[in-house]
Amino acid sequence: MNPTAVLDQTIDALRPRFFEMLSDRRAQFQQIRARLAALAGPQDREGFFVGTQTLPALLDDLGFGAHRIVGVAATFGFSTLGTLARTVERTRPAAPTDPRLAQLLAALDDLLAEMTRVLR
Amino acid sequence: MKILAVDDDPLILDLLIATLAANGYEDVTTAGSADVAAQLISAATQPFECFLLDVIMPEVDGIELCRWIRSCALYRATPILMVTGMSDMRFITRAFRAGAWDYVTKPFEAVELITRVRLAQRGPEADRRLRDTGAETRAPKTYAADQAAFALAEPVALDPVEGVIGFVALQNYLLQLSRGAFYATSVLALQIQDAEGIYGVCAPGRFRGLLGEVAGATVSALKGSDCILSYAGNGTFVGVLGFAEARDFDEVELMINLMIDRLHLTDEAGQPLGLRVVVGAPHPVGMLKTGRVAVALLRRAIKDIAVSPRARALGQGQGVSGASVLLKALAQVG
Repeated sequence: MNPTAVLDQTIDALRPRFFEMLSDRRAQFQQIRARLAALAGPQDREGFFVGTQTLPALLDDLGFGAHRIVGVAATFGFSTLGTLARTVERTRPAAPTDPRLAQLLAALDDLLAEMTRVLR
Repeated sequence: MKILAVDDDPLILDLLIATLAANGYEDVTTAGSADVAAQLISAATQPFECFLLDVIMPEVDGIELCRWIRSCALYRATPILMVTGMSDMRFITRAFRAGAWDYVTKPFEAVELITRVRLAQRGPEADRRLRDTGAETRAPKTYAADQAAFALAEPVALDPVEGVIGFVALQNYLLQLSRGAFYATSVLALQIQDAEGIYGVCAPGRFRGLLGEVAGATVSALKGSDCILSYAGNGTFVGVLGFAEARDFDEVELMINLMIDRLHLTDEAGQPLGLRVVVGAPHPVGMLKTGRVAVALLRRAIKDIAVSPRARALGQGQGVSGASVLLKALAQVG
């Protein structure tokens, strides 16, 4: 068997683990999205803490999860997913009043929609 | 080839194992953290021949691990490939300054990864010979018997100095940079005057030690310019640095030579070598240029300094600057 066929076979064998990881990340991102949306709302704009987490810690978790998707999505044939994850990884508002928070929420919505499409 | 792959993502490790195995590389050890990697490296009875390192890992990152590996005498010349999703210039520069040999961006293409591993396996011949001899732990004075260890023209690996990397690694670094990154980047060459004569009166180990001293002095003199330096063979060094126009290269040349002078370098017979370094003209790469253009400029800088070592001073009309006068005075005293 040639190297490409061997590799394709291995990637197919790893695919269920990729979907499992993606499913876990989607649940995590949905929770993070809800917390970020609360920050973006008019009532909580003063807040820096989101539950027990600070905004930077929340963004670290989101960025780390997105980074993991960036690293493997295209290898499993989902390059759009990887591109959307990279946008989320690179969008980092400095404070709840930073306009990039709205950009991040929009990017996260696009990523979550793509994750759902891939997992379907 | 014995490979150690380090990544905190088990899925990536499995993909790496599969990709490497499908292409004949089956001796692959994996580690999920820098800490575990360090333990495996320390305990290895047969040294690893290639490292694949992720950059972003909890606690100790891949760049710090790379720096630590490079500090181990046994792994001074072993190829270290960074396999990472971080494609920003600052990460790439940090990785190469820490001693990375090449850089593969995730998501990696199997063909690209294997090509780079094969290139690493081939490696600079001099580097491998050095690694295989285990000579790296010996002091220069004990190298007298190694007179034939490397030719003058070989871009031999030097002792670890922060910011000094292999010649192939330097070219890999330039090829990794995006067009915008070349905005304020220049390349330049430096040459040891009468390198052939000095090589002739020194055992190779001593000569390599002298090269290390010149590299260290040059990196110190160019501090603040984010300089990455490499030895290109024939007594010539090449460097990649930022904002060269802000530097006075007469002063840089003087500083390098002053530092070298203080070391009182001698030949095998204990005679002073009077080693002097000439710094060539910086070649600005320029925005919108590609890595290939930068590599071509690097080679041109080497050629230029070989043909006309004093071109910078004469070309810029700085042959009689204060720094040059001081340098001449220093040479006379020496």
